[in-house]
Amino acid sequence: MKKMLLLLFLPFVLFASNMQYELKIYATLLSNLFPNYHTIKVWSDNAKKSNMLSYLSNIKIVKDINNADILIVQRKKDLPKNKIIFATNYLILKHYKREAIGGFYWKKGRPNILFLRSNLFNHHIQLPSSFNDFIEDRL
Amino acid sequence: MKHLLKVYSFIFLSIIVAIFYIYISLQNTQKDLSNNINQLFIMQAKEFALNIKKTIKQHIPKDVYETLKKDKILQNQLSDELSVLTTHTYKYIYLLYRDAYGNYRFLADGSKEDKGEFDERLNVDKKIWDKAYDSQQSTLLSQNNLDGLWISYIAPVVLDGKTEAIIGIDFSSKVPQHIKQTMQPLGNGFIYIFVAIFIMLLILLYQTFLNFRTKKDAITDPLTQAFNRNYLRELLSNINIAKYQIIMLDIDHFKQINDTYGHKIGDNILRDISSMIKELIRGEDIFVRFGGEEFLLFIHKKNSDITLATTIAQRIRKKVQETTFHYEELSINITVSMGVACMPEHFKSISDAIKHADEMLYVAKKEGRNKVISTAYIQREVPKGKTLHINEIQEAIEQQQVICYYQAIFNTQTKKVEKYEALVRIKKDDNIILPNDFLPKIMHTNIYNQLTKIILQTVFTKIKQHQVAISVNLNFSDILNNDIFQIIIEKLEQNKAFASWLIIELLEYELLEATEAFSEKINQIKSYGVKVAIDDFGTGYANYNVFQTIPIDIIKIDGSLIKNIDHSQTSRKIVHSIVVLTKELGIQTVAEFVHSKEVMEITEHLEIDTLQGFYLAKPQEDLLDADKR
Repeated sequence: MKKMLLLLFLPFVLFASNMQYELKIYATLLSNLFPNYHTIKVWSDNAKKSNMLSYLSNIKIVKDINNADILIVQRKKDLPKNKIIFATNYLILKHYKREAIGGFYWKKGRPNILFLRSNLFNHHIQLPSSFNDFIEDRL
Repeated sequence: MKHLLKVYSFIFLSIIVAIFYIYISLQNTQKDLSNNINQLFIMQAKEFALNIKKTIKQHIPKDVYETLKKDKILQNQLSDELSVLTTHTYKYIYLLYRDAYGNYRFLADGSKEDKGEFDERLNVDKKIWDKAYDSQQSTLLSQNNLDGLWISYIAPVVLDGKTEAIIGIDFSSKVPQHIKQTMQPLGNGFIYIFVAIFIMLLILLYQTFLNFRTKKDAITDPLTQAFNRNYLRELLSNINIAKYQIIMLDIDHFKQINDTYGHKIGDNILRDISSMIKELIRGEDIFVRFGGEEFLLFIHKKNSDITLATTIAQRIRKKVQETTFHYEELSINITVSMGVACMPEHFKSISDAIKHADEMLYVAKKEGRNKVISTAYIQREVPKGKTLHINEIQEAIEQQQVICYYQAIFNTQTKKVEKYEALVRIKKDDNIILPNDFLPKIMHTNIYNQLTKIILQTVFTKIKQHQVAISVNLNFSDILNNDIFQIIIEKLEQNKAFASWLIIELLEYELLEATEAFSEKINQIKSYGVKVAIDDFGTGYANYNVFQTIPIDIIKIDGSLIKNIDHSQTSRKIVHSIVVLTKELGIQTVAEFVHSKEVMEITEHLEIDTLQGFYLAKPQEDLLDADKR
């Protein structure tokens, strides 16, 4: 019921911000990262991001970090090893440059997305060619 | 009133159009002003870009990326300089370079927040940025799709012919909002003015409506919704009477209706007949309640159709006649009588024309009511001949073509000429035009008054020359008409010594109700020694009452009785009775139409005092020679 109400008001909420754009990017990103998953379990230390991602149908927000398929991280903290990390700003991406597969953040009013080739390789992630332009060897 | 409404409507529309024009102009001005302000901001950004380029060239002569990569202090110094230029308007000012993969990365950033680190990648619209980078030309880029940004100015930094970096200046989306807000008071001011004008216009319209309603109430009869006498008074001073024909309408036996059914029913009848009349006339016609059950209609002439008013009057008469008025359980049939003045322009004044219509109404009533009598109707009874147009009659008067013929009247005993009857003629191009061909046309007009004056003067001249009695024909209504009466008195005063030779013959076909005023006037005329004769006595409107009300000296027995007197015993007996009566009253008699020896002998035998007719003498321009008298 809550989801229904949220979905009803979602277009109005999204219209007022960059959320709509961001949600579309996450939807594309997650479905390409986990093409065979029926439900993708996401953990985030950012409540807003968790809330936003909960609108996506194939996403399940989990509280147990160990149970998550991907960690969407905003702040520095100790994270379990071998988990797929995705940063929400440039500084965190820099911090987790050895673990994070990439990040999505807003810079100068523009959406910025980038992936680190080496970390994608470590996690055996093969992104579609349409993502090639966003894959970097260095930060 | 309609004219006034048109003027108000025109003013109202003009103001609305003017306001609309001002509004459009203001919109254009706002747009121009907004564009000019935009240009100012863009010029300022160009100036910034030039200064940044100068600073870079000053500190970094070549290889910008490598130099800055090695010199952290220079990086910070450059960022600080960019930050000085960063304001609410110029939201982001930064310096980028293009890497080997064609991606754009920060060299320096003037932002305090959201600051790009050295070498950090920035997603930009590569197509446009590459174009600026490669062409080494500055570009203005609209940023409609980016939140918080309006436009971006991108300027390449070229050192030794090679693009080393590119300056990005992002304008805040608040700039156009600020411009719009700056313009807002102007737009609001206009709206306030517009609302104020609109309210004033509404008040003006309301006032006009109140004024219109008050004026309408003042000039409208509340019962019939026809115009009242107030309006008529105003109308008479402004109306161009040449454009109208006049109908005077009276509801037949209305007093009887009021007395029988009561005033409430009377009022209902007045109201319903008024509604009926209003439906049968046109918008340009004027409908006035003249008083009581009398109405005046001014029928607008669209062309020279002289019968228009008569046609409308007949339509009204017929409609009223065919309608049965139902009130409560009563069914009442009503008729109306109407008099029409077809050519009001030929009257001395509008009042005279209305008076004429009233006289025609009087005739309609006398002829049995439920009738329309018009000038045209009377004129149709005039024999066809060399009928003159009213303008020709006026011309004849001016050119002194009005003359008198004189027909001798003989004394039965002495066989001598006792007097003459003056008969008016118009002599035009050797043609002699008889009164029937011109008198009806000028009846009740000012021309008729002029003609009366001329005839009286001509007759007095003749009397002076020949010292003989001459009679002139006048209508009963001429005596009642103050203008003509004054002319008669004036001429009698001028010719006092010869006044006793004058005989005034009053034509009996004129309707007469011998009022006190009429008797007074006749007595005043007779005080000069003038004799009074009644013409055409014995038929038509003959009324023996006339002997009691008018001091008559002579009666002229009607020609229709005399001309058949040799064949008709009835005529002979009527004439005999008239002669017996007049002898008793001491009134002289004249037999007209004596056209044969037989008629002459019979009239002599009946002891008629004087004889007149073609058998004895025809009318001629001069008096008979002395030996023939």
